[in-house]
Amino acid sequence: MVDYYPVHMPEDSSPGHCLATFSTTISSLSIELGTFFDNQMRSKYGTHWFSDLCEARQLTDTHYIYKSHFDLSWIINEPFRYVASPIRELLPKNEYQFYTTLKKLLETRNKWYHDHNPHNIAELRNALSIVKYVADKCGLELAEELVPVISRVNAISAGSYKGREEGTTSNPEPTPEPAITKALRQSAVGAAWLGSLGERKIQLNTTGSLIDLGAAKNVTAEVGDLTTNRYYKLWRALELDWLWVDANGAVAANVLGSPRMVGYWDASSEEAPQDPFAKFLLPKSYTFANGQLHDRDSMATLDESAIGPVTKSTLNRGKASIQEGEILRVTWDGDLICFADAGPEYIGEVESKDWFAGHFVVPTAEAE
Amino acid sequence: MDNIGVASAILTFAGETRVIDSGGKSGEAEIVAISTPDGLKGEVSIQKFSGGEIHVRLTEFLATPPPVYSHLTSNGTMTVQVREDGKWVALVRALRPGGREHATLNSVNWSELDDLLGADANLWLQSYGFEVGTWAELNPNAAKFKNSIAVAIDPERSHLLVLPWALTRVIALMKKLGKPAVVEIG
Repeated sequence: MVDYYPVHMPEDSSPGHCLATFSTTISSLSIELGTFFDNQMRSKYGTHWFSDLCEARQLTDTHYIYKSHFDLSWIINEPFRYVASPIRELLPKNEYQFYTTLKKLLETRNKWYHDHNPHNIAELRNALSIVKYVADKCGLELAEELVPVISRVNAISAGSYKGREEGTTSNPEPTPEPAITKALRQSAVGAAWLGSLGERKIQLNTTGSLIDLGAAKNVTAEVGDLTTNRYYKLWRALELDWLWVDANGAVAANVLGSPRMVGYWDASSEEAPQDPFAKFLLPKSYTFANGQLHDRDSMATLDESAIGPVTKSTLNRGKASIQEGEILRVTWDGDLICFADAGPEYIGEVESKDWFAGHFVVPTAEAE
Repeated sequence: MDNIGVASAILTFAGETRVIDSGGKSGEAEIVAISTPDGLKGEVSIQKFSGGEIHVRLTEFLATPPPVYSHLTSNGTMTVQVREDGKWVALVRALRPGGREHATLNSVNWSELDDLLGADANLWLQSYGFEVGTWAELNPNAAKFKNSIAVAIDPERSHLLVLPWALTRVIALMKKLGKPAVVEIG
């Protein structure tokens, strides 16, 4: 633990407490690792090791603009990008997926600081488990300090933590889901659901039928043409069971255990613009290398010989603006994005027919 | 009252025990509450029958469960054996969606358990005092499933068997173990 920088103990599930715990945890990790690296590197390479390293890297990498060895981007990107980095000598060796997890931590941080969607207790638990893994593997004191924090977060999630001074009234019982009568506008298909769930509860049966549980009625016909409705196809692919429809026609469902916005009940209704950084992502990730787009799992190259103009211009824009090696993601409906340190970057649209076979679960809408 | 998180499920240990007297079987059960953010609320029992059988299973739904969990009261029982040194040993198998209408118990490997937990599952189990190994290593009487993952624990801490039970039943159903992810949530 860092004596002068304690991790914030959350009192409830509000975004403020979630953020405070997340931010102090990330800073504490950066301070402890940065200090450890500094001590080790000084004894080996002298006081100016950091500026010497930066100068050497800048010869080949114009994006190497770090100012501090306490910067989490530097702490993670230096050993992640440079296999021969002296920092790798100070980190655990031969640990399964250690560097992948480090990079995932950085991606998590970028999401928390550029978007409000992760600011809830379930996402905080996920984030803390990643930090705990890194702290355990690196033997940091933070690992111990996180134990009571994680158990507090568990208690808040379970509803069994009743606040600092039980019975006092300054902040009467935390209400995770305030009674909001007006349906909130949801930010995107895939985003954490905001506010309370819609009142109309529908069950998607394994037969594909949609049943209104309150009315005991088969309402499949209400969603229109099942062969073209992208949301319906997405619900089937996700094997959803319960759907909640709100007054705006927005549909909520539990996806991998957490409530998400999953589409609109009436697909023909005029849709508000959606936040591209909060959408469902395809599970694959991509990167540019040697001027081509690669699938990071198979390192297969995207065949660009017959792709349409929409995908083509997005790829050209990406090649011009995104550093090689940065991780790219694609949303379920075809937005190419990069969760970079400087903020998430929207590159443009790609079409499923031009993409790696099998990556899209639902075909993207044809461009007009 | 202790809460322990297993991925996004929360187990609440209140130390409650109840007498079991049903279907001609009697014994005693320790009750652990489980809840998930997607609406499962139930009671898991560590059942010790007078005939010597020990089972860990979901015994009650405390609210109408989402359909994905609706078979859990009849499916996914963890059978426990008592080793010569008194420790409780159990196979770690997981509910895996397959050809049948609902998921059935099947073997599971460490990297799948890591994915379900979102952390190193072996270290996690050890941190709660579990002995971890193969069924043959932990149970000298093992006949089948010799290379399957198994755990052993002191009888005083046996209520913690609910941890691997929840990971391999509830979280396995929640995250659709063994099925390729269709989308990821940011």
